[in-house]
This record gives sequence, structure tokens and C-alpha cells, in this order.
Amino acid sequence: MPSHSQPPRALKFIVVGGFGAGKTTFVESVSENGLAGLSEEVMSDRSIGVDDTSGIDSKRTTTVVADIGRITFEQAGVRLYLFGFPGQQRFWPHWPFLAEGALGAIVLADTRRLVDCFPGIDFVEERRIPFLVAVNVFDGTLHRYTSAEIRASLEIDPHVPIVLCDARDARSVRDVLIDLYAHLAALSRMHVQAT
Amino acid sequence: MTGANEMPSAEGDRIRPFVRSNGRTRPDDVEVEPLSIVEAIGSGPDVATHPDEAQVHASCRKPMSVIEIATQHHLPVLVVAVIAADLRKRKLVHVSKPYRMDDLPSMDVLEAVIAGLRAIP
Repeated sequence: MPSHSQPPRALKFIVVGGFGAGKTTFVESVSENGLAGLSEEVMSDRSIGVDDTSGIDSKRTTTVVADIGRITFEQAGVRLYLFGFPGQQRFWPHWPFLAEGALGAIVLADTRRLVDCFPGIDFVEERRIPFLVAVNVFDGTLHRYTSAEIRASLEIDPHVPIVLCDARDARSVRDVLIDLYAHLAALSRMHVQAT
Repeated sequence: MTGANEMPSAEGDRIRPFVRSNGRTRPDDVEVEPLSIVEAIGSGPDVATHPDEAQVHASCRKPMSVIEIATQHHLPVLVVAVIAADLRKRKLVHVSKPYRMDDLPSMDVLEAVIAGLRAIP
């Protein structure tokens, strides 16, 4: 445990999924300080405002590539950061940077467009980031599938949890985070046993 | 943004980041990462220091990650990381390391986080 003089240690989860699956809402629901919008210029190590956007206020032309939310757990000395990824294909090149150091991932699925979360699943599987699939249940648009049907259509392993959630509801999002932590704890127990 | 009051504000951002970090593009002592959390010790750098340093120091009176400070001030993450490393070297801030796959939280810490999550109303 860290001493009191040290700031909390960050722990990062990423939230991936198709465009419009509710990632921003998911992150905002539980964040203690709203959302911080990570822009391309902030991620970049290039010059600021010298080579481009002459005469244009760069702040207004900023493209936000990730929504960052956080929850601090003082007792644990941990601050959980949630990075909501941009779903649109043109932002995919940013995903590796955004995923760096992530300990877990939530793949947010929208049953109206289940295929949209395939790239997210491929991405986290390739990087061996532990993940679960959270099916976002929008109001009045719930297409009822069993989790077995969803598992079959997403072709994910039996050990990957599939849970339902409502991204607008802090309690529901919190439950997803607890599920992911429990999944991580189980994985790390397995890891301990294996070594 | 730079605190250079004599310049029009549009000029304020027209500075290459490596100028702001005294020519360096890497934090040079110990690793400072985008999710390193920085917390100020004491009242801040003296008046002679670079305005960006003062700004970063002021932003982390409460613990704040490098990436959040960068977002707040529209500075590249790398620049803030370099500044944070400098401030740490001068013992003006504490910096914590993020957890990683090869440096996972202990079971005690994980359980404390789960307890914290359950306490969210």
C-alpha cells in the first residue's frame, strides 16, 4: 500500500465498441469529474499551431480522440481511469497509443449493430487485454438475445464474461466495472498459481 | 497559455513544444508516463522558473495525471511529462507510477477497489 505522501496509482481500463454504442455515456456515468477530452494535438509531439491552422483558434478545431473519466479509491490508493475510444474507423490508428498500459477492457456492444464491436474485440484479443462484453440496453430498443446467442455470434471464448448494462445508469456501469475487476482478480489468481 | 502577457494571445501557442521543455523531448531521469499521477509538494517553483512549470505545478495541487494536465492546458503529453520529471527532480512534486500488466496491483489492492466500487451509490 502506498504511503500517505504518495499520490494514488493509476489503473487503466479502456472502453471500446462501435460508433454510437454509448461509450462516452458509459464513461461519464461513473466519472467523478466529468469527462476530459483527449485531443490529437495533446497526444502529438509535433509543434503546436506553427505549421497548421494559421489564424484559426486551435482549441475550436480540436478533434477529441478519447473521453477520459476517473474514479479515485482513497482507501486502495488507486485511481481508475476509463478511456472511451473513438469508434469511427478514421481514429483506429490512435488505438494502440490509447490502449498502452490498459489492464482491462470493456467491449460495449449495441445489439442493433452487433458487428460494430468486432474490431474492438479483435483489438483487445490481439493485445491480450483481459476483457468482458457489456451489452448496452438502450431504452425501448432492446433486441432480446440470450448471452449464448451473443457469444455465438461474436465468437468469443467461454471464459469471457457477457453482461447487460445501461450506460446511462451509474449503478449499472459500476456493476460492469466490478465484473471486470472480479475477472481480473480471477486471472491474477490463476497467474499466481501458474508461477 | 504561456503566460507571456506582452504577446497577443494567438501568438501564445506558437511555440514549439521542445522550446517549452528546454530542448528535451524525453523525461530524462525516471520514467514519467501519461498516467503517472503528479502531486505538488509545497507552494510551487519560484518566480524565475518557466511559466509552463508554474502552470503544471499549480495544476497538481490535488493529484492529477500527466495526460489530464496536458488536456487542461493544451500541451503535448510529452512536454508535461518532461516538466513533471524536472519538478520531481527538484522535489517539488511526487509522481506515482501507473499499474501495468507486469506490475499488477496486489490482491489486497484489487479487493479494496472492488469494495470502493460497491460503495458507489
